[in-house]
Amino acid sequence: MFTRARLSRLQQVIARVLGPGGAVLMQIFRLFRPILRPLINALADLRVRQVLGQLFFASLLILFFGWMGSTASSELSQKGLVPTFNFLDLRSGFEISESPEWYSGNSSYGRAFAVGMINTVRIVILGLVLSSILGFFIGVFLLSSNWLIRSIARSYVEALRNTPLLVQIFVWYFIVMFSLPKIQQAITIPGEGITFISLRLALWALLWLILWRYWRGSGVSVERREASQYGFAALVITSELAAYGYFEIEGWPWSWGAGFSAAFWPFALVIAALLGLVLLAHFGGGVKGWAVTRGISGRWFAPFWIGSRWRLRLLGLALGGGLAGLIFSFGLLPMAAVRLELRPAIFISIRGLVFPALLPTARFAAWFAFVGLGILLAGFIWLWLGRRTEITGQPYPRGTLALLALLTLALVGWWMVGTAAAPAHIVVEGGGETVLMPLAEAEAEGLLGTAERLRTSTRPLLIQLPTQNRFGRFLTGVEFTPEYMALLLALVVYTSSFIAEIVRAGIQAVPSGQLEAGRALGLSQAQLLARIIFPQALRVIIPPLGNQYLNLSKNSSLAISIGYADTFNITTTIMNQSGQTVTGFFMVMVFYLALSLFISAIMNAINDRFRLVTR
Amino acid sequence: MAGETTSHLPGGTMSPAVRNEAYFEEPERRKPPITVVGPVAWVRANLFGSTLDTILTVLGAAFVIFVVVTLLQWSIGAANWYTVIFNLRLFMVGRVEPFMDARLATLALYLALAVGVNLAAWSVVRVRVWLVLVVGLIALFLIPTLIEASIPLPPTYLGAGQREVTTGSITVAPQSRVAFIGGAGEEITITLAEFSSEGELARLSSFTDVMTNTLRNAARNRLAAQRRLGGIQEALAGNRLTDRQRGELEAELEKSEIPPAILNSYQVSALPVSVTVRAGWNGEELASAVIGAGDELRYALPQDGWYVLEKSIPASDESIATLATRGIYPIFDRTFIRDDGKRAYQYVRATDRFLIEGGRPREENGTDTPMLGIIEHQYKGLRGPANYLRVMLAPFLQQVNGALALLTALVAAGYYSSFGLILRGERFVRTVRRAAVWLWLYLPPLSLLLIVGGGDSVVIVAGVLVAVGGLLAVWRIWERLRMAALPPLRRALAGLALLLAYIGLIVLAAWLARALLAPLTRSEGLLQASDPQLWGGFLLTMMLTVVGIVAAFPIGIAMALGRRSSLPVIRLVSTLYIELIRGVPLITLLFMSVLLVSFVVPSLGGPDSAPYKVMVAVTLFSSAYLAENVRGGLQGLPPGQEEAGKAVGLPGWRITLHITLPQALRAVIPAMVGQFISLFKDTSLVAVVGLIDITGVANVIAAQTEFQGLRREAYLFIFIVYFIFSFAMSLVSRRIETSGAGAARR
Repeated sequence: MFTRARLSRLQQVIARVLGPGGAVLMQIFRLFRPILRPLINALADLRVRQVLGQLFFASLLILFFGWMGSTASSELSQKGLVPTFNFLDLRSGFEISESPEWYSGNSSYGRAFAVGMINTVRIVILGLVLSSILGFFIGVFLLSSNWLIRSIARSYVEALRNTPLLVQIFVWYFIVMFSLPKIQQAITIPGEGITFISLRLALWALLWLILWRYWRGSGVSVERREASQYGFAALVITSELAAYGYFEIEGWPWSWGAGFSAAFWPFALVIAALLGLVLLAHFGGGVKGWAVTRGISGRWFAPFWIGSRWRLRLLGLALGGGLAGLIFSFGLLPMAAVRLELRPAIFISIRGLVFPALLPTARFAAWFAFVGLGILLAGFIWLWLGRRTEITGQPYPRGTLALLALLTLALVGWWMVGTAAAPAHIVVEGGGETVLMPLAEAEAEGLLGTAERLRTSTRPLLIQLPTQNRFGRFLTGVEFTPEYMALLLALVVYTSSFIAEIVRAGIQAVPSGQLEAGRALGLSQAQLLARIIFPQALRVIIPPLGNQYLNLSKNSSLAISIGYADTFNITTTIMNQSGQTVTGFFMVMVFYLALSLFISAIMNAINDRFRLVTR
Repeated sequence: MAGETTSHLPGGTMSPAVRNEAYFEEPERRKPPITVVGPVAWVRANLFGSTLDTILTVLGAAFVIFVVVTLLQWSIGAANWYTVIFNLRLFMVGRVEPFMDARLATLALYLALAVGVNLAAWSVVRVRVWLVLVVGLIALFLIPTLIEASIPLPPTYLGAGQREVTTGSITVAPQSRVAFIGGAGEEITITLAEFSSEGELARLSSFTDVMTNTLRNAARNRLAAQRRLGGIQEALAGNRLTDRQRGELEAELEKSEIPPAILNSYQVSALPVSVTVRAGWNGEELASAVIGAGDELRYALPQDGWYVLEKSIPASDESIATLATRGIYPIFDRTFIRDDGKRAYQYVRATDRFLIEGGRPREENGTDTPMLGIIEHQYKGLRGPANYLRVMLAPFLQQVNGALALLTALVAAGYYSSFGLILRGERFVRTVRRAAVWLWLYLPPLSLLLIVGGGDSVVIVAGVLVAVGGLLAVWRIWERLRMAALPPLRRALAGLALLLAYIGLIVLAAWLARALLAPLTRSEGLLQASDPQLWGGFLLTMMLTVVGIVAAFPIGIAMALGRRSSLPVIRLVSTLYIELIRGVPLITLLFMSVLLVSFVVPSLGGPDSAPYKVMVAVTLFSSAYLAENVRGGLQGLPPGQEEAGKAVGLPGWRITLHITLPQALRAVIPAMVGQFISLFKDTSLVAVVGLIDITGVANVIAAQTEFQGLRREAYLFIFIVYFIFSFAMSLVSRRIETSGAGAARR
C-alpha cells in the first residue's frame, strides 16, 4: 500500500473525488509505467515530436483529400463521369476558328487540346517579344529629358497598370476591333493606287549626303554648320513649295517657274528682308554705338536673337531661299517622277489582320544549307576574333565581319540555287481534265496553285501577297483573327506598362559615376548605352521581367472572355461536351505549370548569364 | 538704372580701364536673360532642348491633341451617357433589394468616417486640400443649377402625317397618338419645325422620334451620296488610280443614283398639322389647335400624370410634318417590386428624373398607347457643348452630388474630430491611432451584418466577436498560469478547463444571438437576409477584394512560415501549395471553384452560392501571393534578430510571433498594398464566370433594350472608377514606402 505522503497532489485530488476506486485506478496506472516511461521519454525529444507532428499533419491531409476524393468520385460515378484520359481519343465534333489544317470537327479531343496549346504558345511568344520592345521604349521615355514625352509615358503607364486587363481586353475587342471597317473597305497598307515619287527627292537626298559629309568634317564651326543647315532647309522647303504651288493647285497666285512673274516680288521681298536683317545685324553694332552716345538705350538695337549665330543663320536662310528661287526660275528643277503602282499587302478589317506569307519552296533546303554554313562561319569568325582581341588587345570589327560572312554566303547560295532551270512543262488540272502544258502558259492562265508554285519556283522563298475571292474571303496570306489581335494588343499594352516601370528602375539603378566614367573615357552616347548602362541595368531588370513574362503567359488565359481558342477556352468546351471536368482541369493546370516552369527556367538561365560574378 | 550707369561714361565705347573702375562702384545689376530663367527657359530646356527633342515634342503634342480632341468630340457629341446615369445603381451595388439601400449607405458612411479618422491618425491633410474639396462640392451643386437656369432644353421632334418615310431598307410611318408624362403647371409648347435646307435637316440634333430620325437619315444619306459621287468623279479625273480601281469606280458611278430632294419629295412641314392634347387618365380633350408655319400651341398641364398627344395632317396624304415640342421628353420605364410584393411600373423622364408610377393610358382596343419611350426617342445627331451640358452632364451631377457631399462631410467630420483630439496633446495621438485601427477591425463584422444580413450572419458575428475577445482573455490567463510555475499535470488540467470554458462561451454567445437577435432578421426585419445572387457592381468588386485579402492573411502567413520551416513535410506541402496556385491563372481557379466544388460538396451546387465559391477561389489565389510577399519580408530580416531571440532562450514560435513576423510584416506593407491593388483589378475576372461585378455590368448594359450594343460609355466609366481607386491606393503605398514604415520598429 502507498502512504499519503507519497501521493502527489493530483493523486490526492483524484483520491478525494473518486475515493478507493481512484486509488485502484492509480495502481493500474503504475502497472503500465515501465511501458509508458520510455514513450514519455521519447516524446521529450524534440526530433521525435517533430516527426510525429509531421506524420499527424500528413495523415490529416491525406484524410482530407481522401474524403474530398471519395465524395467527388461517388458524385461523379453517379453521373457516369469517372475521370479517365480515354475520352481524348473521341471525336471532338466542334470546329475551331484558328486551327492548323490538320484539325477539323472530326479530329479527337486530344488534337483539339493540342490546337489550344499551339494557340496559347503562339500568342505568348509574340506577346513576350512585342511587350518587351514596347515596354523598353516606354521605359526610356519615362526617363526622357523632354517633359511632354515623359508625361505622356507616365500617363500611359499609370492609366494602363491601374485598370484591369479584362476591361482592356473588352475595349480592344468590342470597341477597337468592332469599329474597324468591313472587309470590302479594309484599311490597306500600302493603299492601292498609283504614287509618283519625285526625282527631286533623290536630288535632296544626294545634297543632304554631301552636306552631311561637310558637316561632319573637322574644322567646321557650329555657327557655320547651323547656317548651312538652315540654308539647306530653306532651299528644300522653298523649291518644294514652289513646285507644289506650280503643279498642284489651280489658280495659285504665285505662278512661279514661268520666269519673271508677279510671284517674283513677294519672293524677292522675303529674301531682301532676310538679307536686310543680316546686314542690319552686321552693321547694327556701329549704329548702336552711335545711338548709345546720344543717350538712346542700346537694347533697342539688339533684340536678343541678333547674335552672331542668328546673323549666320539668317544668311543661310536667305542664300538657300534665293538659290531655290533662281533654280526654279530658270527651270533647273527636275519635275519628272517615278510612277509606282502599289498593291495592298496588309489588310486590316473587322475580320482581322491579313499580311503576306513567306513560304519556303522546294529549293529552300538547298539554300538553307548555305545559310547554315554561313552561320557556322560567322560563329567561327566571332569566336576567333574575340579570342584574338583577348590575346593581342587589338580591336576587330568582329560583328561586322561575321555579318558580312553570313550575308555573302546567303546571297551566293540564293544565286546558286536559282541557277537551275525551272521545269519547262507542268501537269495542271484545268476545265476538269489533266493536261501537260508549258509552265509560262500555265502561269499566265492562273492555273498554278500554291503547291505548284512552291514546287516550280526558282527562288528558295516565296512571298505570297493576300488575295481575295469574290466574297472577300482570303485565299492566300497569313490571317490573324480579330480575337487574336485584340488579345495580343491588350496583353502587349498592359504588360508593357509594367515592363516600362521595370526598365526605368533598372536604368536608374546604374550609379551615375558609371556614366561619368564612360563620358570621361570619351565614349559616344550609343556606346555609353550599349556598353555601360544596359549591361548593368539588365542585372536589375531581368528578375522582375521574368515575373512579368509569367504574368503575361497566365493572363493569356483571359482569351476565354472574347472567344479566342486558347488552351483554357478549348478545354472548357471539351469539358462541357465530354463532362470530363476533373481531367480537363488537371490537363490545364499541368499545361500552365509546365509553361511557367519553362519560362522561369529560361529566365533563370539568362539571369545566370548576366549576374554579377563576385568572389 | 542701367541707363544711369552707362550715361555718365565718357564716349560710346567701354575701355577695359573704365570697366575696372566701374567694378569698384555698385556692380551693375541686370536681370538674367529670359532664356535662362522663367517659362521661356523652362520650355527651352524641357521641350526644345535639341533637334530630336523638338521633333519628339511636336509629335507628342500632335498625339496628345489628337487623343484629347477625339475623346472630347465623342464624349460631348456622340456618347449616350444615359447608359451610366440610368444604371448608376447597377454599377454601384448591382441588383440588391431596395431594403439594402439604407444598409449600404450606412456602411459607406461608416467607411467615410473611418477614412477621415485614419487620415487624421497617420497624416496631415492641409487646409488647402479641404478648401479645394469644398469648392469642388459647391461647384457640383452650383453647376447643374446654373446649367438648368441658363440653357434651355432642346426640343423633341415628333413626326406627323399619313405617309411613310423610307431610307435604305427602313420604312417608318409617323405615330398619330403618343403618350407622355408631365407635372402640374409645366407648360408645353408645340410648333411646326421648318427646315430651310436639306443640310439643316441632316444636322438636326435633339430627341427625335423614329420617323423624324428616318427623315434626317434620308437627308444625310442623300448628301453623303452626293459627296461620294463628287469624290468618284474627282478621283476618275486624276491620275492616281490603278486600272482595277478605275473599273470599280466607273461601275459604281453607273450604278449610283441620287434620290430626289427630301424636303420636296415629302413636302416636309408644308401643310398645317392638327394637334390635340388629351388627359391620359380619362381621355378628355384639354387643348387643340391647327398649327401652320409660325403658329404655336401653348398649354399648361393641370396635374402630374399622363397625357396623350394626337397629331395628324388632315389636308393631304402626301405631306408629312415634324413638330418641335418643348416640355415633352422621352421616358425610361422600369419595373420594381412594390411593398405588397407585386410588380409595378415606374416611368422616369430622361431629362430631369420626374417620376410617375403606373397609370399608362390605353387605347380603345385595350393595348397601351405608344409611349414617348427612350428606345424610340433617343437623342440623335451630333450634340453641341450646350446640349451636352443640359441633357447629359446636369442630370448626372444632380444624381451624384448629394452622395458625394455627404461622404466628404463624413470624412471631414472624422478627420476634424480626431484632429481636434490630437491637438489637445501628444498622448491623444496614441488614442486616435488605436481608434483608427479599431474602426478597420470593426469593418468586417459590420459589413457581414449589413451586407449579408440574416440570422446566420448575426450568429457568426456574435460568435466571432466573443471568440476573438475570449481568445485574448484566455491568452492572458494562460500567461499568468505559466508564470505561476504550477506542476505540469495541474497546469494541463487548468488549460483544459480554460479551453472548455472558452468553447462554452462561444456556444453560449451563438445561442444567445440566435435566440435574442435573430428575430430582428426575419423577412421584413431590420437585418433581413439579402440574396447573394443579387450582389453586384462595385459592391461585389470591393467585397471580393476585401475578403480576398483579409481571409488570405492567416493562410498566407502560415504558408510563408511553412515554406521556411525546417520540417520537410510542412515545407513540401507549403511549397506545393504556393507554387501550384501561382503557376495557374486565376481564371482556372475561378472556373474550378464554380464547376468542381459542387462535386466535392454537393450542397453547394446552387447558383446563390456562386459569390461564396468565387470568394474561396480568390482567397486561395491571393494567399499564395501573400505568402510569397511575407516570405520575402522574412528573408530580408537580418539573421541577428532570430539569433538574438535564441540567445535569450525563447522557443521558436515565440521568436516568430514576437520578433521576426512583426518586422517582416512591416517591411512588406508596400508589397501587400500592391497585392491589394492587383487583386482589386483581378476580381474583374469574375465577370467571365457569370457574376455581375462592375465589369460584368457593362455586358449587362449592352444587352438592355434602351442601350443595345452601347459599350464605350460603360467601359470608360469603369475605367475611371478602377483608375481612381487603384491610383489612390498606389499613392498611399508610395507614401508608406517613403515614410519608412517598413523600417525596423523604433
